[in-house]
Amino acid sequence: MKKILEIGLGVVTGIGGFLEAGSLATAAQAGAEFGYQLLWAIALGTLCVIVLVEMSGRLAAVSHHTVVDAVRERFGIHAFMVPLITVLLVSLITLGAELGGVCMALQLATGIAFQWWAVPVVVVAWALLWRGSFGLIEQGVSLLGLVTVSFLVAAIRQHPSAPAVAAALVPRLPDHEPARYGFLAVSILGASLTPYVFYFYSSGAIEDRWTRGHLWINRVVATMGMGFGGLLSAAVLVLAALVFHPRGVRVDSYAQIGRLMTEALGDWGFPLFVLSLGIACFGAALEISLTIAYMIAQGFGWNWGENVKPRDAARFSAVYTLALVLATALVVIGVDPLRLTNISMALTAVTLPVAALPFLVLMNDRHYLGPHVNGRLANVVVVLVVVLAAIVAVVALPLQLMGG
Amino acid sequence: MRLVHDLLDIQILDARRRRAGKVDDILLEIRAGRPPRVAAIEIGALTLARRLHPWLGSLAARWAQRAGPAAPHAVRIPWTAVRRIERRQIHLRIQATATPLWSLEGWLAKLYTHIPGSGR
Repeated sequence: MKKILEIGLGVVTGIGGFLEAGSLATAAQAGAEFGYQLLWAIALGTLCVIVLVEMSGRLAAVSHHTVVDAVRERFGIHAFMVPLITVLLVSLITLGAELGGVCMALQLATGIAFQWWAVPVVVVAWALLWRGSFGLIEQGVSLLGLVTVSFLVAAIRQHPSAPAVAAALVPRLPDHEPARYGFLAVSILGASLTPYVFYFYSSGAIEDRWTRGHLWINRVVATMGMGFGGLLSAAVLVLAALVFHPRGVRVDSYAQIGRLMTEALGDWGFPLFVLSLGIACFGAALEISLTIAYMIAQGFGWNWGENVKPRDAARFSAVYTLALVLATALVVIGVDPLRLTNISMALTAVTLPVAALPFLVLMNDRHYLGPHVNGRLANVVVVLVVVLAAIVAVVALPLQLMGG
Repeated sequence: MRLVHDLLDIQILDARRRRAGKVDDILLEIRAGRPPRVAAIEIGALTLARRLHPWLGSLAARWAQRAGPAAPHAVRIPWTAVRRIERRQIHLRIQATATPLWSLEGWLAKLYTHIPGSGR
């Protein structure tokens, strides 16, 4: 019974926590500009994130090491600094994008410009981290995050054609604007595969004291949680493909994404959208702040844990405080949140190999995993998707920047 | 035991299971006519900076002289203070709070007493 509850909670956490600024914005842009065509990128990204999240849970359950602990130990300090610094920088920008998303939701709700919301939002986020436990943060926010299921309801109400959706799961070359197509494909992969997700998950598994007995729970939670989460991203894309694509509307603000929901759900659409955007981005902001603190504390061996009192993990709490302050600066100076989101997702894709490949080597090391090392399929999926995302990013990013 | 593979960069826990840093460096004692042995482990940002790059090391050393509680340090823990190594973690006999390992942690914790909720 306890295990079933644990699985249920885990899956809900996955679903409620999946959608955030990055996946929401990139899916809406892709649907508006290319119809269903980019659905394959969401499917591929979701498959890969299922594999990566399952891996990080398995590592924690078997070796009692988080990804960060194990990477430093296995590769030494020199090699460790490269992923650490890269992921930290990208995570800070992503944190700015998520905080911007929350502020944007508040702007849409009240009419007061988003910059003004930055400080109140960050104070509430910090207070939750300071006073809340890991369970409260993870499960509380994810339960509220279930409001994002409204995107799925909205998409279904627009009656998408099943054969057309299925056909788009096969990757195809675009019929127009190949650079933009590549850029969006990469941003979608970046949004599904943000490294903070698997760093966070492995730290959570340690906080919850997982053992080998959790291996099957881990598999179910990773597959169903991330799988259904990916379905929500797909729903946003489908909705945009049905509402915006025929009219040639391009998504260049969060307010516009809100119109998707009004179209599908009438009067309920707008409030549901504002709630979804605000809660999803707020949840992601909490998780990213924690992940930044986890990474630094674990990298240097400091006492860490969201279940520990702040004064007993003093440097750890100082890190998330500092991260929130730095990221807020991005919002206060008025960088457009949607723009920030797009930049952070593309950067994530470019830097993905740096974060994921050392982790993959580790997952094949019997010193850590004994008989539970990766199978060939997991290795192939991760290498293929990560390298593909990075290559397309390197090609498409300069083209997009020059063109846009 | 392979020193670099099994000892360098692993987690250190103090006598009360508080995470007290990673093994940032290993000090060997050379003995005439007998094999060298591990004399101490070294922990701290100063050690880490030196290991990353000599230039970074001297920069950190200069900073260390005037940074107060946040100063990077290089703390040597004698091998005799190690109780056991288990699951790639070093368990110490001593409490980290009694060493410079805890200087920044302790200073911040004291600062936090002014903020409600620091002890939840």
